[in-house]
Amino acid sequence: MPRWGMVIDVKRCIACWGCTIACKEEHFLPPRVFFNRVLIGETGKFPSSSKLIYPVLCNHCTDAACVEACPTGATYIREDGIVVVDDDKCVGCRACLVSCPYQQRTYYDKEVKDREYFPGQGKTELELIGEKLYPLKVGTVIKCNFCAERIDDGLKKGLTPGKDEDATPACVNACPVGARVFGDLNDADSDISRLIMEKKGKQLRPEFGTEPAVYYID
Amino acid sequence: MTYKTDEIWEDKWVNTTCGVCYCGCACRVRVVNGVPVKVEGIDESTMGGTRGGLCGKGIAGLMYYFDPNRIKKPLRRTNPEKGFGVDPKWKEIEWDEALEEISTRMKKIMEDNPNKILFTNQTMRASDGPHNHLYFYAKAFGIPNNGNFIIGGGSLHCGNAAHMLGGLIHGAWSIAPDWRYTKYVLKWGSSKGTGSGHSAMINARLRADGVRRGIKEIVFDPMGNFAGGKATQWVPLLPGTDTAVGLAIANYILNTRGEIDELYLRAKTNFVYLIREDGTFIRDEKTDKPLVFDEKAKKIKVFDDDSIAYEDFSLEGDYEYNGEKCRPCFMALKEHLKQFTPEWASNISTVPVATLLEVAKGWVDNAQIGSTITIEGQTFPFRPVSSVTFRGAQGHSNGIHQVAAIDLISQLVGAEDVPGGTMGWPSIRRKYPGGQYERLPKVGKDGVIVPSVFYSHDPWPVHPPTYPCTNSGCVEFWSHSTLSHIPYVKEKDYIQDKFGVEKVKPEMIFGIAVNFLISNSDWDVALENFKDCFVVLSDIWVNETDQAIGDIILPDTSYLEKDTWSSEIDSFFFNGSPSYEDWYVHLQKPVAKPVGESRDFMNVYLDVANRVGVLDKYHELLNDYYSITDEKLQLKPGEVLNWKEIGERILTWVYGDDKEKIQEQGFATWHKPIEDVYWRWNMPTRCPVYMEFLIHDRRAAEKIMKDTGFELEMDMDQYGPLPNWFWPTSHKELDDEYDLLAFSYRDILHTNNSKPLYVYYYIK
Repeated sequence: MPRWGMVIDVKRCIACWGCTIACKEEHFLPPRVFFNRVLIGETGKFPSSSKLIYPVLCNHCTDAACVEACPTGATYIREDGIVVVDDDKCVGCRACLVSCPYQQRTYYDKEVKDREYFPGQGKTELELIGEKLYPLKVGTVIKCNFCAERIDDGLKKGLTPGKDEDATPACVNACPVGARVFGDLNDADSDISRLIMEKKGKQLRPEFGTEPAVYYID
Repeated sequence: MTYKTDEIWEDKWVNTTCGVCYCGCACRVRVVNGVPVKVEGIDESTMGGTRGGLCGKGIAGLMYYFDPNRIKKPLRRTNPEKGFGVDPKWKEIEWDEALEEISTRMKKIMEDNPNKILFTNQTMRASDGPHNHLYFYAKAFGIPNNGNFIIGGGSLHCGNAAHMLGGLIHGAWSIAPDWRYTKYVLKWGSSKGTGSGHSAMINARLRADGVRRGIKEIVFDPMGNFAGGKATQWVPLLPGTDTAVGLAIANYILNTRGEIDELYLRAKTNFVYLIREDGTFIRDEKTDKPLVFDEKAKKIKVFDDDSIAYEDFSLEGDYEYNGEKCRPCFMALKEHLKQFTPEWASNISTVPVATLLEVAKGWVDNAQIGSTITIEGQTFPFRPVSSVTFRGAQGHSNGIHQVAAIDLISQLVGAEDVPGGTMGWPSIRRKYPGGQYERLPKVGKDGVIVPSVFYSHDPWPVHPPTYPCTNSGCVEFWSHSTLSHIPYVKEKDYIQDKFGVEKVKPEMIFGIAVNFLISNSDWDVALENFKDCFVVLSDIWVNETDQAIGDIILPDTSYLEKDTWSSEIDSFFFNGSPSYEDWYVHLQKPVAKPVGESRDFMNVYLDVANRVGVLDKYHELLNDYYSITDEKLQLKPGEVLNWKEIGERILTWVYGDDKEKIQEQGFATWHKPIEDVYWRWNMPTRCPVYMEFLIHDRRAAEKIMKDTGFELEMDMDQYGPLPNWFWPTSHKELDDEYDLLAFSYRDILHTNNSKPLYVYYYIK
């Protein structure tokens, strides 16, 4: 069984927000809801300062704090390592929001659902069709799912996640500088395993002990 | 969560070209039930980022279609008072009424003088399509000198000085590092590779691969934004002082280290041309060609005499021709550069001497002068150093000298259009295999390259300043500008009166996707200059210019709704295949129905031309522009076709038998032969690094100023042949009481505007 993971090469990233927007389009997310964000800061002392650019998303942790916190079993880890929310079981208690050390979860309530891209001008055709194509359930918690639908559909078609566009997360396809690599962490020969090994991939805040499946190289 | 499929009757991907900025990356759009829902890149095309990746701005392009503020019907101003913030009290009118009023007014003005109509566009692809058509469309109306009244002025909005030097040195619109082979890149006020500039995502992809390979990137920039912030080293400097640092580095290369690519300088620059004491070229009496000294034959010859071997062109020596003392102009450069010490440059720019010397040393050490590389069986000089600039450094009153100094660094080590060096991009458009329409630069007067296509006002051959001027930009006088800023400045009337332009005071403007009032530094002056015109503008939204001075606003379709079959053909010179990348052709195809009653402006162009009675002339110009010699495909007198129908003819001409295949797929790529990439040593051109023409042009300009009593202050010393240091106007106007400088910048999310929406500060 594969264990899906991602490597983000911060040396390549130029903060174009392609991943952020591609993700919003893929999941038809309302205004101010992001499964992919780009955190930008500075390091060093002038004039030897430089930008720190970290694209962040759900880490799909092996020891996920959100799974432990969920009282109903709605949040669970699939066999392939992807952390998902079963919206039939989610009761919207938001314990997971508080427990996620990476702040990657959003509570989807009526206020969020009713937000308009052009406030006060009604929902666009895009928003309306999005509600049909990718229905989100009010009163539940939503988050990045590594584009599990693409992976599942792609695998059914015999495609390889991380290689074939139609089986690969939208943010990976969108990245114009190849900063995102997706693949199987259980396969020692996969591109991502090799990159993590060669470039000494690091997880964010390893001290939390959550064992993220998203690694960063620089 | 799963997709609901029972309500889907259509779910398809359409290949097209992004239209959010002028880069035009390959993209595909997912359309569900007639609604575009997703934008992605095209992995199989090289016209874009890695795996066909796009930037956030391009992916968000869907909003151009869904924006409820799109104009849906033609609008007519009912409030005669014009101005920013004044409600025009728009009234929706029918297309026929709008077009009838426009054409009737045009016909009336044309009876008087067609030059009173100005056509304009902007590099705004949101609405825009074929950029170049404006020029010959204007010609169809009998307007030979629409001038360079475009792009909202030639100020910081567009790369005026950068384009001039790009044209003179590379026969190209712009420059970029040869990311694939370079090792050491100097970027000056430019974000090439970090999200901006031409072919932005291609450059971003190539840079990312290069950075992973270990390229060192040194960024001179007042702001540690994405270019500086992601660089190996960011070197902050005072805005507009890049020249000083560039000249000091050039001095280090030539006079301190003395390590230069002599063979390149002898073979590929005009530094070997002989000058007399006043700095002008000595020319052959018969042919008027500049002269050089053949060291082997010990004889003065014309510069393109085949009997001289490259290594025998003299760079130094004192000679005599017809009793007149002369010497290669390289000697003038050598002496000229000595004054630019690192300490001097440091005082001006704030760059520490040690940093400057470290960068200069890195440059020479990495240039590998004398080395070669073999690619695809051909051997080229290998110079893995590149010095590039764009909007930031050149957007000052000393812009030409800024760009020339930055270019000089590459010249001295022979790093121009060779592997690893500074690449003009792209200089040529190869025809699609089996098709037609090829654009190749030529060798012009004095051995200088003549670009195959330039937006406006070819950089070569340059003409000396003349008057009277016939267009609002007064480009006859400011003969080196790529784009003119004159129509927008408060001195416009004075300048135009002095230079004899008043008799063609514009009465009507027809603009496509422009926002020229706020693309300039002084909005109120620009407003005053144009508010008395009858202004017709076509756009997808009502912008500030439309609101302030528009009389009729025509709803255009966005790039998602129009069939811009000519997008790549027309604008190859700023989004064609750069560097060592496959050739490509791309179409922009409609993915959705037009919003409201919006119409593609090209169809409006055709309709208006027909109503005014100049359609046949326009057809003639189109045949000429695309060089169509096949009679069956030529557009004929009396024919009335829409833009798509015209495209059917022209695409058959341009793509040959593969037309339908390319239309279906939306693009095609094919291998670029290596000699198309690194053409420098295959083409007998010489870079006019010694800009001798400026000496003559200074004399001509000064005479005109005297004859006309022109009294505006101009820094005439800028008309000098060698890159030199001049404080930009922005510094001259500083008030010593304040020690904070504010300047504007743009980042990747910003497109097509030059106002200081973002302001950054530099403490002196």
